[in-house]
Amino acid sequence: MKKKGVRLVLTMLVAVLVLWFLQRLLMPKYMSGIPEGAMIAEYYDSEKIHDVIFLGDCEVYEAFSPCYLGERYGISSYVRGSAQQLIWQSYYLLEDTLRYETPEAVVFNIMSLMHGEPQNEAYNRMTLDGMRWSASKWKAVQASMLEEESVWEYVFPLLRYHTRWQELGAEDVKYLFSRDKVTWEGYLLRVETKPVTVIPEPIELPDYTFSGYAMEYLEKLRVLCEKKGIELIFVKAPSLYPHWYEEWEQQVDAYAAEHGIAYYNFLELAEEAGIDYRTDTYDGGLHMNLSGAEKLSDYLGKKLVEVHGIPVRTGEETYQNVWEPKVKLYHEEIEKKKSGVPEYE
Amino acid sequence: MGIELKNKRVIQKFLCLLLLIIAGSTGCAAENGEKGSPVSLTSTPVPTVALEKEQQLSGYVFEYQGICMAMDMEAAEVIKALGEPLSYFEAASCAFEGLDKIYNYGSFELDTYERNGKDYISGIYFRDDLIATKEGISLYMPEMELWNIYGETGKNESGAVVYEKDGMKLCFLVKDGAITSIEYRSGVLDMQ
Repeated sequence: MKKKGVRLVLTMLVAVLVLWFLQRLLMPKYMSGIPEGAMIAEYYDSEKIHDVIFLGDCEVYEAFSPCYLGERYGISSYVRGSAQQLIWQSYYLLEDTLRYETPEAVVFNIMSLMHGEPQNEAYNRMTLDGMRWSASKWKAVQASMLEEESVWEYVFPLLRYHTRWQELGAEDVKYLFSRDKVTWEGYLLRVETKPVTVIPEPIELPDYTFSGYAMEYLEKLRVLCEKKGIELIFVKAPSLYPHWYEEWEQQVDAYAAEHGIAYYNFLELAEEAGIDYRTDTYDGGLHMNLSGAEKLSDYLGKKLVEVHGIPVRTGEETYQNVWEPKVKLYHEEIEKKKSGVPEYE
Repeated sequence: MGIELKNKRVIQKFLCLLLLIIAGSTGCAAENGEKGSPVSLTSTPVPTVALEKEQQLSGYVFEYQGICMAMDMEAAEVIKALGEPLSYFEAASCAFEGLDKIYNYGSFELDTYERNGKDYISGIYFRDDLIATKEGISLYMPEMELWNIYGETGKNESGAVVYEKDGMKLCFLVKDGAITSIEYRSGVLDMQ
């Protein structure tokens, strides 16, 4: 009788192990080709001593470099950005972050206000699969799912990824149990240069009002920051496409003014920040390269210290122990990447 | 005895479930047309229509200097036939490989998306009133013309009047009694 019970437990255990193994094998590793999918999970391995947390879509993780902010200004920061991160995902990522630490300031890139509803399963996956399980992840999944998605496919990703068996490659085996780092404290390093030559004329939109859903989450983000004593700061990266409409700008301006939120629109501040669209973008104006990101970090870092009172940690032992080795490796990586980059023609 | 039998059944059910899942993960879905991996974005069906076979073009079709263009058709022949654009812009997605391309021909803009190494038409946007839809609507015409030609069956989508046909959309914006925007849009990108 007892033996049968043990056998039952063992059988179940083996089955669970097999399923867990299959799930690990079949889930995408995002180590090459699409490193953006590995970004969100990396945060959990970082030392949680951040005074500034950046939130937002691809504009933010290509625009601000925490290593530069650390080296130049002694600011301890992390970018919890991801590709097409929607505002409700930013909100739940902040909730998730607050389980580990409470920063002095949250810098939110406001581009995602343009989206009022869930957009794309693949992008959802790149943000949500990397989050550790918590009530915040559950709510983020619920808020982000498209009609054809199921919450159970997020709980048991094997149900969604089982069709990947045909795409399995050496990377899936190599990174079965551990991953390489793809970012520098959330910053995705790009050193190539592709100047802006042409930007399409904006197309007319039927309605320029941000959706109620997006504004609801902006308000939630503000209230959460207020409740936790965190200063919320808005930024708009100087990306030239997709177009940032004047009507959108007015709504952000009005909201920021109403709630006393600092707002740095780098489309307007590009010249002051020293952005040169011939040298500071790697894809013709959509995203910043290293040169652009360091100029923006320089501008914002100064403001964070002088205007927003973010502590300068230079000289503090804990800070030095954590950041010095990171900054050293960051420079080595820059040199390595620069030596392998062909000139833009 | 009863408990032993019950245990056996539980184990049998559990093993059956496990086998089913493993079977699923080794090929059943790929063969029955189930949605593909969200990472590879292979789930979106891409129709291919030859330029010269106009009768195969689906949805509302735009015609310019004898060249017919439909949403989701392969773009290569069309672009070749249209000649050098006034300007060309390409945008990589935030993360995925493949480029969205925008060709500016003065009176209109043609957008494409990339799938499996080929470009397909994703949109056509009117820039001036020198061109018209195949049914005869141009920019700045009175809205009455729109109702006369396309009928009043268009859906209102966030203020735009949208006519759907074969999975694509023909969208108009009307302001102060005049048509201010005309856009052909593929439905494929909405389905991603």
